[in-house]
Amino acid sequence: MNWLIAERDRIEASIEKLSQQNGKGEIAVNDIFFNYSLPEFAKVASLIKTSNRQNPDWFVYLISNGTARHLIDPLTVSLFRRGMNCDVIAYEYDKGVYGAIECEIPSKSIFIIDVGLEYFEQTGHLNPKDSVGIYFDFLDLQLKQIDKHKGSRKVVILPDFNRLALMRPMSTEDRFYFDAEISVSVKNIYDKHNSVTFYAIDEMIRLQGVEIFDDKYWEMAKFSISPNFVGEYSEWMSARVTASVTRKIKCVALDLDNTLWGGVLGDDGYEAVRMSWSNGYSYAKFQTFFKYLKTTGIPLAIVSKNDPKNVDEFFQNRSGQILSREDFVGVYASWGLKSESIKQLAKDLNIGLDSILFIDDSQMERLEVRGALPNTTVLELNGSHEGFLSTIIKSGYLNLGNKLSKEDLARAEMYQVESERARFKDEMNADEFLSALSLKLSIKNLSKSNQVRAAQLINKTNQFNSTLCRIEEVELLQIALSADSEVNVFSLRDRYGDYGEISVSVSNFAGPFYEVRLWVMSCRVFSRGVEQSIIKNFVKTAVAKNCSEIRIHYNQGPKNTVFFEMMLSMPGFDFHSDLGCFTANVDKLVALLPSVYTSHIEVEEMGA
Amino acid sequence: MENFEQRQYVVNIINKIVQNTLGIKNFDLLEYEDARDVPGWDSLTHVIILAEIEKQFKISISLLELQAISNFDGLIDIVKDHLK
Repeated sequence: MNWLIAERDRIEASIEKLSQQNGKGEIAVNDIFFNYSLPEFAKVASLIKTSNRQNPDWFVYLISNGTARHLIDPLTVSLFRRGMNCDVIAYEYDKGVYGAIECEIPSKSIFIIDVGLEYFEQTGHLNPKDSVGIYFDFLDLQLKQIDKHKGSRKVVILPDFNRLALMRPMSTEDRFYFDAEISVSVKNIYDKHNSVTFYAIDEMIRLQGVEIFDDKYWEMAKFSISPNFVGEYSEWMSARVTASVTRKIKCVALDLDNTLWGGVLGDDGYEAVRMSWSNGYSYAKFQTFFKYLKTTGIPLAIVSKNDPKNVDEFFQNRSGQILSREDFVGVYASWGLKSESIKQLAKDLNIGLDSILFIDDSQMERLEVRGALPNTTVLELNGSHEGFLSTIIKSGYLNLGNKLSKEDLARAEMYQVESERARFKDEMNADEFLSALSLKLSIKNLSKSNQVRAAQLINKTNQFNSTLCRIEEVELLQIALSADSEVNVFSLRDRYGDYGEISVSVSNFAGPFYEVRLWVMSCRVFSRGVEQSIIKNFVKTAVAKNCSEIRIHYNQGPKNTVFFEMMLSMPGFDFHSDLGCFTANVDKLVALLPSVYTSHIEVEEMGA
Repeated sequence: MENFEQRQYVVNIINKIVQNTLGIKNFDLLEYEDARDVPGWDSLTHVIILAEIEKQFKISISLLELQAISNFDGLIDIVKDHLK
């Protein structure tokens, strides 16, 4: 990934230069794209393609019933800036839908179905309800076709139904039923194809304040997205695609002075800083947004240059607090570099630096963090505080994707506990620490209660992931029902709290072999001895199924070497590159278990 | 602006747009009769070029006007009319 970051920086520098030549030098990189024309996007996309020495990480198929080829360059640029190295594929009018679906599809593919209503308006149906009905039948059919490409991701952009409704005069009652019918149809499609992520184009129109459809361009060349707004569209779309593929941001690091409140705490004192609805409206609104965000499972931390005593005093004494001390997993207030505080935060929460979003009103601080931590997302904030929230929302970094599991919702609390664990760990050696945690691992079969989280773990885990196979919820259920396969879901808790479901294994029994086809584990529980306990469970099952050999399959990817290294350190296992798996003799493992595979973990088998 | 100067001004800007869009160095609109003669000028780039012309000149050409354009002279005239 480092090469990608270096390339991104190099390309962003070229963009800055290009923008200066075009008289846009004063505009921040984030804003440039809204003003870019298609030829300018083409130049930047060509920079990306020529520098792209490695194969793309993803193939993005843009399925449209209009012309979508003009969106290739803007989307390539926007996705690349968000860390996704993609090959975007779009077809000309009338070739898109079937052309893309019927061809050979690589495994890491994302289908974006952005089918507008314009086409259906032309089918001779006067009643908008009929056009909408045909749209949903058509969508269902497309999704069924795409479902055949196992492991691919699906993003549906719901069209602007409001525009259609406005084009046909309707009574208030009819309009009410029209809206209700759309909601029911969306729900039906969602239930039928629940691995699809939906976004509504109205959201983009509302957020960016632009009408992206232009009758003129539709009539001329069947452009459902006007060439004048491709920048806005691709920024919005890439934020959603990124969110549907990986929920990248796991923690928001917030500055205090002039970010969370108006004024300088050290100078003005805790009672004078502005953060109430009557005095400091935009700060109150800002804090309320983040207070809610925390309930969706994204934890907050404070990274501020302030005297920690002043910050403590604020939280102890200030009246009318919206965000209180308990809302933050950590307060990193010091006079040191903010990049150092962010490093400490990542370490305490046991998350990657690329999982942190840093928000600060000071350009100097943003530059310092961006320079020292190129992996960390630093949001560019321009102008006054009133516009900050809108920039944050438009950026899409905090987009929540399709469905939140109970682990997502509890994540903020889990990180709070993780932070306490980190402090506890500092006080003792590794063995003492593990023993003192009183870890308990539960093993369950795949069931309705854990299937959402299991699919999420499989599709989002990149590091501790044995084969990088992506399996959707529906397919996972089918595997679990098969007589010669099993899907195990592992959850963990300790004296501090519940980690929730942290690992999934997909195995089958083929004659003498117990084959682990896929094994993923959350990076939060590395080095707790969980991996040894799960291997113990593999051995136990292999013995029960009369298997003589365990095979743990491995496919190398850009980030999963951690899995390979962990397996190399496991006694009894050898890697066979010809088979693409680690193998171990079951009898040998049984003999090794008591002495080598010891751990501090109590294991409970709980069935379904 | 005199008629000839204004025509040259419009041509220069369109030349630059076409150069950027189609990647043709030293493109000169006056050397061609219409879009069909220009290599790489297809239905997609046609729309992109027109959108760029509207953006650069800060004008909006209606579909009716666009449909009436049969060659580059017609395009230059329409842009000139909008600039009046």
